[in-house]
Amino acid sequence: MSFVGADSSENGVFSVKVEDLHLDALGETVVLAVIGEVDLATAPVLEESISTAFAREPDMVIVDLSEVSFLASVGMSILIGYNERAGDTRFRLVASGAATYRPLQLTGVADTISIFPTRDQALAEG
Amino acid sequence: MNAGQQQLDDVQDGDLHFRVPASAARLTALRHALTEWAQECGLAAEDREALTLASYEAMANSVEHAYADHVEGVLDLRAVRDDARGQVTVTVTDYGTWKPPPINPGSRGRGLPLIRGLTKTAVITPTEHGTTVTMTWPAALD
Repeated sequence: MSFVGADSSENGVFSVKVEDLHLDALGETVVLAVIGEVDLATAPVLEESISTAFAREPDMVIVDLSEVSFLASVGMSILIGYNERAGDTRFRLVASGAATYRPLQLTGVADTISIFPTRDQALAEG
Repeated sequence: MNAGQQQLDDVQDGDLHFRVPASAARLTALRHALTEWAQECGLAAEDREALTLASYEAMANSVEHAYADHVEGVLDLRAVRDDARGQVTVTVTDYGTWKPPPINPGSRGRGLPLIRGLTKTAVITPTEHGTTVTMTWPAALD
């Protein structure tokens, strides 16, 4: 487990925790636990983290937004971009609640990327 | 925290007016100030989040597009409570050039749909001097 790109300014603490899992059912899985507020200031850290995860060419990348309290469209654009370029890597999000799931729904992201209410559910489905 | 509150005009007690350089770094503090203001107005949690996100998107739009050619611009953020009508209004004004969204925005361009989805009414007024986005939410004001 490692932390990348902690950023503490007006946003308080923003960080992305990276976890590599080796799962029988799903194969190599990288889970990115995002903590804090995703906006223009912090989005480059998110992008860098997802880019690094995909560079390892895992079987699956999960971006867990459970602890994200604000998600601007710049963040959603990054998620959409990586989903489109995911290739053979499966791409899943964990999101629920007004701060993340609602904007993902309103922008149609929820129609194109698989979103699970909890990380366990994202990891459970084959 | 000084996010740039200024007494530029006749700001009514309980209203907000910030004029700041249109740069991404300034928007986080403005957003937090808006959330606090919405809380003081007594908005429900869901409306507070909608107001904060939609206003942020409008400001981000100004930062990213309006001043692409000349970076020295400012933006005005105003938040006004209208007790008589039972609503709150947020306006974001920049003095750059309005860029209509591209027909195929690709992975970008989700700001405006998001603003529309999060507001009761959202009006975008481009003029030759700049662009104003006016957004309202119903509010059971004290």
